[in-house]
Amino acid sequence: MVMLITGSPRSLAEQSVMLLTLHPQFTVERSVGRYVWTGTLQPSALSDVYTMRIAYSLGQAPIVDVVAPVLQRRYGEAIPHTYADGSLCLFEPGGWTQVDWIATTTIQWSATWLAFYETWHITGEWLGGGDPPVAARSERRRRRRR
Amino acid sequence: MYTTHTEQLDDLLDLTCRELQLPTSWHDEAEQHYHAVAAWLEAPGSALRAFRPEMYPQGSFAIGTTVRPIGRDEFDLDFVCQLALEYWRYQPEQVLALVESRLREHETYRGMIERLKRCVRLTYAGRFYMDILPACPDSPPNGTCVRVPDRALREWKASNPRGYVSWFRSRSGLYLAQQFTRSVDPLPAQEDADGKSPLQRSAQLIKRWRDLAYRRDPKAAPCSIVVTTLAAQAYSGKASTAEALTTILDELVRLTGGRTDPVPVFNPANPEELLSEQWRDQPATFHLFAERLRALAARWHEALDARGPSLAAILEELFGEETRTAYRRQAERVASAREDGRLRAGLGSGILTTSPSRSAIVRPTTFHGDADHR
Repeated sequence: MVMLITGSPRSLAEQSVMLLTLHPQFTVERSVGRYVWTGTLQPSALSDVYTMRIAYSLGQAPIVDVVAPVLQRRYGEAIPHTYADGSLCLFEPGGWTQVDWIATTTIQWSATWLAFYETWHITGEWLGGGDPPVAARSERRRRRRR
Repeated sequence: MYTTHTEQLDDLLDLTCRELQLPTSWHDEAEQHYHAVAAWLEAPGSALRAFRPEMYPQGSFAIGTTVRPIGRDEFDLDFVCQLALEYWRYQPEQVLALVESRLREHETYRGMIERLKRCVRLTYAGRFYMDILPACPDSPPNGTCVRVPDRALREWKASNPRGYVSWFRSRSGLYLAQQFTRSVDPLPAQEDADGKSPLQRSAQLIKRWRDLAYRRDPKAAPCSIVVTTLAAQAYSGKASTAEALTTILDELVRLTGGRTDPVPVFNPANPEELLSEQWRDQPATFHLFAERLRALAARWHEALDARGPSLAAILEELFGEETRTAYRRQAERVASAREDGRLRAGLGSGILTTSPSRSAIVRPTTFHGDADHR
């Protein structure tokens, strides 16, 4: 697929066409100035299937939420790389602009985030990097505290 | 990377077993030690020399199904010391004493040796317990059949450790046409971890489950050779470890369910040798095993339907915390592919892969977030 790299921001409709074409498991709800895409991502064959919601208005970065299964803390520890409202924090400031296609950034970053989220739940370690770094609590220390 | 459930599960089980089994470097050490002991037993000046002692491995070490016991570092490595004696002329106790005293003549072994019920143990602290069982050829000679001391050290009983190894290997190779040449019994080459068969992996996992399930009542646990023999008999040739384990467990539940009497398990290479003496002598242990096995099979089927952290929790419950290390290894591959710019996400699913077909590259990004929200 040829992608035109222009300097102008993508319209909502353009973003939606790209997203629904590349990721047909998503559907869209359109309202004035705001599109919400809902669909599933499963980061690996052994992973849960996550229902994602991506809300996008021109002028704001896409907001990505996991609808189901509900994201869980791990023994009381906050989920890494999320905002206070629980949405996923997939890039640093400036890491996404309106010239980017949601379909080739946000979706893939979300799948990657989910993979590391699951590993973090299972092993206690966040292997996805990021800033600020997530300190791996020593498993032994956690067990002793229980 | 893998895209099917079975492929990824097989890999997870494989990684788990690699954490549980004898490490490759320890295997090489064991080989050196074993050759040294064998050399000492047959050296000029040895009282055993006239009996042409032959030492060869048996048990999990011989068939490639080692699993580190819970709560200690040392692996159990079993060996046979075969002596060309007319067994009926000797008490088992006498032959065992011969082996022990020869080992005691060696300054180093003297400090490592311990006499157990019917074998001699050399302890390599932090590494192995090398248990040496004396054996004599059967009479009339019958292939690789031998006589070994019985558990009470009263009589010679029939056994066939080499025959068992051959039998197990033939069962193990059902999933592919495999030739095994009979060697002069050097230690079996440490299989490349990828080279373990589905049956070997299944046996390791079942033994590990047994160790955990019986950790509060270890004396009631079935011995490894019984569990391994049942698994090998129940194995039907599946090429996937997960599928092999499923068919083995289902078959064993069918075999052990609804019985009043224990299942007798004989050495397939020597029908005179009853392996399941414990069940015969204490039938309650058999019924306990049947019950726990049913629970294992049920839980395993739940695992097959589970995903995500719920699946991980079941696997850890059944096979221990090494499963977490296995998950970590899989995640490290994802992280590594991502670092190299090779990570992609499948279109339509999101499944992370390095395969370029029907997938889109994961562009570099740095996850961010509110550092101070908790």
